[in-house]
Amino acid sequence: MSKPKRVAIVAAGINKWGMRPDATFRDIIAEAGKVCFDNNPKVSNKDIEGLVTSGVYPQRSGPQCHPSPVACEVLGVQPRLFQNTDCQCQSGAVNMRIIWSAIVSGLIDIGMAVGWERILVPNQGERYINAALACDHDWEQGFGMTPPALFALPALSHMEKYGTTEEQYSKIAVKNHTHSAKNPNAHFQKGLTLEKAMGARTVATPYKLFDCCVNTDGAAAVILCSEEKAYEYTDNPVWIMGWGQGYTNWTIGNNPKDLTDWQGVRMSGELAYKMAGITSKDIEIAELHDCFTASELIEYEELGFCPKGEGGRWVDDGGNDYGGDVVTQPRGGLIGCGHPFGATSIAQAHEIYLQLRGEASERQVEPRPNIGLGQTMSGVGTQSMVTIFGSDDTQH
Amino acid sequence: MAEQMEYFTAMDLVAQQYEDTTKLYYFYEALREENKLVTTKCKACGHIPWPPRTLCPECLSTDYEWVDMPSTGTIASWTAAYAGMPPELMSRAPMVYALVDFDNGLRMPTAILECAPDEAKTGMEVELIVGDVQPDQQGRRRVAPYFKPVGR
Repeated sequence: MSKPKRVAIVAAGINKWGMRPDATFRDIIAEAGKVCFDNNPKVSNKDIEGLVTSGVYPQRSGPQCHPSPVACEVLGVQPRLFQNTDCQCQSGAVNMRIIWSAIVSGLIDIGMAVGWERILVPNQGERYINAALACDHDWEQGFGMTPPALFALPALSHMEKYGTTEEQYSKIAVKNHTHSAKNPNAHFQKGLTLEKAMGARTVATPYKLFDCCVNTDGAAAVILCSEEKAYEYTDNPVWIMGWGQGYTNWTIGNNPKDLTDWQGVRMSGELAYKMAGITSKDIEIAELHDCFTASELIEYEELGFCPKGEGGRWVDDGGNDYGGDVVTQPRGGLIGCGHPFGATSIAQAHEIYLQLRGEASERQVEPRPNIGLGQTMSGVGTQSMVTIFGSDDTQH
Repeated sequence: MAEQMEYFTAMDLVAQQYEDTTKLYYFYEALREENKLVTTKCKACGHIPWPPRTLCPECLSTDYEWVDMPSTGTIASWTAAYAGMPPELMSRAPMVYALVDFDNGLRMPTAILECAPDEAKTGMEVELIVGDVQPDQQGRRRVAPYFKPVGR
């Protein structure tokens, strides 16, 4: 592959995530969009040439189809490229990649990726439908399985194959809640003790309450810009160094036979590292897809942060936290922040943008990191997207 | 407002199961009327997929026949779910869900009925049991392939 043009993030914003019965999806997009434009006063809404929304459930959070022009009207953007995109939990990353592609191809110079979800409806049956829709309609939904049960299957397999313990899973939840306590935009800000995590009610064995992320209402936005224009908007851009997307299969019956073998995640990491010209050893901070604690642990292994099967030991050694090899989930991950599907990858990008610029306040990783990784996943390890971000120092 | 809301098929989480609604209707007919689990076999290349297909993903042939699946299998991994289930199943919590391996190399997700969480084990042998699920919008019976411990 020839070297594509460089693209940078020049502004990023996020709103307060949580239960938002007081706000419509237009309100939520307005909040995050406003924060994003306020983040860099040199960028005007009138400058934006492309706007892509990522919302997985617009038909269930309005209901509204075709939400991208709604966002354009809300934010006062007159684009010549606009669309909505849905790739379930990877939606925000594929959104940013659409804007990136449009810039690389020369269609536009500057574009905005806006992700959101408004999903916390008060009716339990409807919430069940939202969860079930992520599974195959004909061959999974009707059987009553939802993501906690599906993602519990590899959690048990990892315990049986590698001796990983429920306590090691809980330690990941404690880390992520500890980080999100320092993040004013996170759904959860009270921290968590290991005792409370281990004593919580069971959701789907071996998962207890805090092993699971929650769906939440929220939005996030980033503005991407061509290398020709980036320094007109900021003297400290954060660069997209690489993307990788992996796919092995859709229905869970067709997953690799070893349920702990998350080839889709591994493939996404390998492709992204190759495009960025780096290895896993270069990653200093990572925002991973911790829909459940075992997901994060298996991702450590597949992305090369620790050897296969040693995720539990790496957790015990603190390799995954401040002071360790890779600071994982500095914003608190999905477990600490909540998971508004269409916004999550963009919120990861927002956090890494702050961290690589040294603007993450209480959560700032020291010394200031130069290379960060974002990863989101749909399917149980079978579909994954990795983005590598580099500080401006990496480009000179 | 109408006195009773019409059935919203766009929110129906259960597969359509009859000849007027799916090409794969025989899969459900075999379960419903013959208590038998089946899948498709490609007549051109012999590929046997799960789930059944009208289009062979290996050779793109649309010429297929139905073949019997084994009626027993073994648990590859399992979980006991206490939450995250449809409201009508919450009274049956905990529900045991599992991936079941068959000796023809296929694997499917399913619920294990008549099985307490402390009985479930990786490697446990289970057999087919046909379960009723929500009827369709025309009130016709719909079924799902569940499993239970062998001999239960």
